[in-house]
Amino acid sequence: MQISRRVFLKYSGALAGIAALNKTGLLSLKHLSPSEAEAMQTAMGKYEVKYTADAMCPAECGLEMWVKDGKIAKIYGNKAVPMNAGTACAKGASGQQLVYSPYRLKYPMIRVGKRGEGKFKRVTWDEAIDHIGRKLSDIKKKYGAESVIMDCGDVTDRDQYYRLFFAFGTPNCTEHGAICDTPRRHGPKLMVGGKRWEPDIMRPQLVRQPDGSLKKDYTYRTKLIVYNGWNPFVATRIYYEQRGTVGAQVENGCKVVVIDPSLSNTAARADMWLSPRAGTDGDLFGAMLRYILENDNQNDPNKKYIDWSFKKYSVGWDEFEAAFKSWWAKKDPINGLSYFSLDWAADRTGLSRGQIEELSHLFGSTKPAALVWGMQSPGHHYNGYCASILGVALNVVTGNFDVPGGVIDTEITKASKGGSATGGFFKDRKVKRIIGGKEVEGKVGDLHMDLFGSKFPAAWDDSVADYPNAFMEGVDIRYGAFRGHHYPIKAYVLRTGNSVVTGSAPWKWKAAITAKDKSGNYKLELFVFIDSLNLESALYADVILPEASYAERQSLSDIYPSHAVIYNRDAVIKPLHECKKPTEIMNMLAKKLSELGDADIKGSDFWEKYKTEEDFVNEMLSVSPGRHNVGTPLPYPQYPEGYQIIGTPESLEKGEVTIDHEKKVIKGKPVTVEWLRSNNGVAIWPMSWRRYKKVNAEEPNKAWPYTSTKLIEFKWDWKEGDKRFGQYKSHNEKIEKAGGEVPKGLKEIGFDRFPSTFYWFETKWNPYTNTAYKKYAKDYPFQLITGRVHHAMSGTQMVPWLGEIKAEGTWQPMNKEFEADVPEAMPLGDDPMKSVKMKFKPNSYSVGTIWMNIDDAKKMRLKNGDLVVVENPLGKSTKGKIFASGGMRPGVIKIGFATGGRFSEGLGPAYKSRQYTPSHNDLVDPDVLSPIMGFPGYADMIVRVKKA
Amino acid sequence: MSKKYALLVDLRKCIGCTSCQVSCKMENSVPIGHFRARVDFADTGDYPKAKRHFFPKLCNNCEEPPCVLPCPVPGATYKGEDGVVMVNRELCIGCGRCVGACPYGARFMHPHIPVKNDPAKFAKDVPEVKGKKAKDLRVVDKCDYCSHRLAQGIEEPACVRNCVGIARIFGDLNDPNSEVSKLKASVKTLDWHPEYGTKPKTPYIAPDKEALDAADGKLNG
Repeated sequence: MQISRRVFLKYSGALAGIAALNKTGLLSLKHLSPSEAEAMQTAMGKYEVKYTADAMCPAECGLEMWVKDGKIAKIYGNKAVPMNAGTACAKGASGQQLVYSPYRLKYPMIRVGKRGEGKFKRVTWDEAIDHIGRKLSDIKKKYGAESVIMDCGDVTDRDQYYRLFFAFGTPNCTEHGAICDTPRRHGPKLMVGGKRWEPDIMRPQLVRQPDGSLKKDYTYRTKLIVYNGWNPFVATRIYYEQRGTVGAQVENGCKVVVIDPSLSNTAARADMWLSPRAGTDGDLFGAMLRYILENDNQNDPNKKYIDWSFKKYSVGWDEFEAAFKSWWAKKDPINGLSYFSLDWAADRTGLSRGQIEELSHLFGSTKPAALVWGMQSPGHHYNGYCASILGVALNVVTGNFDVPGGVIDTEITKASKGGSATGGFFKDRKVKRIIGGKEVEGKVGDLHMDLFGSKFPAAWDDSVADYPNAFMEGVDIRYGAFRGHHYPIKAYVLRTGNSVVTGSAPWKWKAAITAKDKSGNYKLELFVFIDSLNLESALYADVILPEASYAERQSLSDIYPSHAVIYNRDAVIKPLHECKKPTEIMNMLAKKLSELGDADIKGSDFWEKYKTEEDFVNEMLSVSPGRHNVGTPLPYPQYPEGYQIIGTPESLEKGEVTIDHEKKVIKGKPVTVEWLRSNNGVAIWPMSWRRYKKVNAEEPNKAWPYTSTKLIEFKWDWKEGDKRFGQYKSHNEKIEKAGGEVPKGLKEIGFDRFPSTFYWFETKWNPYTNTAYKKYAKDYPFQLITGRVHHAMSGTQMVPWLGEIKAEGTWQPMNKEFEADVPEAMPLGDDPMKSVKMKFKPNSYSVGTIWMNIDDAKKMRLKNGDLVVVENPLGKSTKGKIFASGGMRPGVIKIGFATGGRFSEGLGPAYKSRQYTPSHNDLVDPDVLSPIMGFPGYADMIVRVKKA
Repeated sequence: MSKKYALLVDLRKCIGCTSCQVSCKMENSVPIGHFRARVDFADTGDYPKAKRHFFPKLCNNCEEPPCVLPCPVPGATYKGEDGVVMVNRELCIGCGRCVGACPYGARFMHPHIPVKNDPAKFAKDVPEVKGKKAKDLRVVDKCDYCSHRLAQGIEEPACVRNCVGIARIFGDLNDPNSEVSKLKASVKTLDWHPEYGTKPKTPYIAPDKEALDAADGKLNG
């Protein structure tokens, strides 16, 4: 849709008389002709509306899918769901092109070539399940069940697979969180038992009114939002942050600050864009906290930064403050300046002293405010833990935590789900292992490769990026009951994940999966790939199982609202091709293992118990919402404060409950799939704020947050009397029981135990903050960062409607001419989509690009579209075309996460551009695994750029 | 009084997500490479004063539509009583004159919808279709505010229904109490190229006027 006046002008003579002609009626025919009216009525037809969720994306918005003749005809947001309030993004609305994509996996396959060659034969489900069952049985007998890893990739629908493999006897079940942003979540986990801190801008919220009624509240209260390395407009996860951010701006005069080296779409809408050097998020937060502590003046309304009432609801601030301040006396070897001072932070971040001061004052003095840090800041850096901890502290001391319009820990406010269906209890089963000739007994859970392994025993979200090492060298259990036990990893079951491309450096993954032992057999004996999509990891698999797509299987939304909400992700259509649902795959595999003599697998735990996926989902719902009756206004004033709440909103409202005063549980009628279906698919429980305090007293309620003391904890391992508290307590106890043996991760940063309060260490591959890398700055003048744009993930790269979009500087229409089969919408006939071969002109379709500053580009005589090579000090390189703009900090380069170099034909159009699109992960240092939880330093790298 | 539908775009709330563009394609089976609704992007300015504009485009459903007069088949394209500029697929012979006549590029020939009307009847005056059969010609398509939804009483085009930032407001300008009328009355709005004299009915709330200029810049390829 471009302006073109060429032909328009030809008719302009006629147009002069347009107003006159209008009067003749020629321009305004009064009614639709009967045939037109009929055609329109038919076009709307009769649809069946299914309430579901968009698991094509982690935001999992509530959707209405309108079905006609068993096919998805329309997709809209579900108006009853507050996450998205009836809206749906480009991804959500494009679902037909994924579900009806010609590139989907259609039937089970078994490898016939070498791993990576991509040669497979089609087999039946029975053959595939038999093959997997026999291999798993053999491996369990030979090496123990713990030699099997179940990596669920996507969080959604992991429960069936977890259940099966926990019952099988391995604790090594993981999901996407392990390669998402664990350092970012760390502060919330340590300090409130939570995970994601998000601004209180989900509107509407269901709020209890003084008269006892419930009302949808649309009022924005937030006055300031600071997004650091968080780009909700493009990298969606917390969906309401899109309409909420602009809504708060326009309707409440809220100011928005975005801190990001690149002008993200969110930054483009911000009132202030600050672009620091990469990997200096903690530096900035540290300087903000120091500024606030040093300049707070309780008598000056303009400088009353701190709300000291937080001390009533927390423990350990004095220790935290003392540890933080102890750094002020030290001089940083990189610049000789005092830690966390404005000058120090200016030197390291590249922002000006004035900018940091302005931001600190703005955040301290504006209330309510929310400071948010995202996966593209602390999440992707070796030392992200420090930033995450400081972020929590900043929000708490300024009085913004869980206040109306402030910041909310959405992990500990969302509804619980899963319960016993996930099968966690199987990990309590006792097993025996021979260690050093002695028989030792422990629990299945004690065999966990990370939690009791030699490297990252606090990796409660697992360390998937360390798997290549585990495939090569096996696992050393150094802590707990099985200390001294060594086991190999022999089977890797990967479901809806693509770790070969995304789990740190692809070259390392490929090497580990194809490594052979002395007799020429693959060290990793079995690699199973389960997905709807045909991704790169499938090329390396021994067996491929096609799973039903998100619209073809049922489960529950996995979402982060600001109060308890849960919705049914209904199966909208029947599985296409030969695809099967997770519950069915779980049951088939369980039955096979049982037939092969595995006594740990019983029909009563699987196929006899779960006849349908609905049975499974109902069990998952039996614990919902599972949150506590806390906060102001009290969600349920008719029930005791501080008690846990379970059951449908309807039964709780009507008083159809039993109250267990001993366990402090209020139980209504359990939420079921049937109940959800008859309530627009969704259950919503009331919002409240200040959930850490009693409703009618200025004291803690001791029910929330979910820490060892039920207070906000600024210290993480301490003793009171003979009791020990804190989130690191159990991990330090492991070290103590192992005679003080220091895990590998901690050793790297010179710690001998998990710290008891505030700590600081430097990130890697950053020449501006870490002296060890200073020498590289001249030859590698660019910092390399990454981040996803939601049009360019694996699933979305397969969707042509999203290829017609450009997003920021990393997804631009810079394609060479190509031809590909694509799903095309059909306006006539019964099929909503048909696969057609189509030719795409040059520069008409978006591909992964390399985003850099335009002045940097000019200095190198580069212009938009030039092909360049990006090279790191490890000798690794990648190729791509550049997009140069003023929207990038000089000296920084950004490449989309897994947005280029895609080498599976299953990606469709994206595969065609693999030769000239960049693979960011090929430049990641696979040995940079952050010391606490073993998370890859996705954005800790420096590079140089050359014209190709 | 009859209705006068309009679609207002509030650029203060547009987050550049392109939901409108894709929701429209989903709703109306718009083919790859063509658009009834589209979002333009423009990166302008030098670091650190750089900007990115999002500019959603759609048919203006002009009060004085320049696309109607060039049509050689009476009623094949017309302005309905409710102000929506329509294409009658039964009558359109696919000559393409209206496509060129729209200065906003809002019309296209739909590759998957063949012409039904017999072009031979018009071949004398319309050389564009001379010697061609209906099945070889394609009808014109454009945004009609999801007229099939309007016909069902759903006064909410799909792009408005799904708009993520709640930046698209649809309604009746003849109703002073409609949200679109109230917004138009209370906040300053701009038209896209009003100088063409077509009286567009897509008012933009544009705090930064540069967005409208940038929409036609060469960065938007």
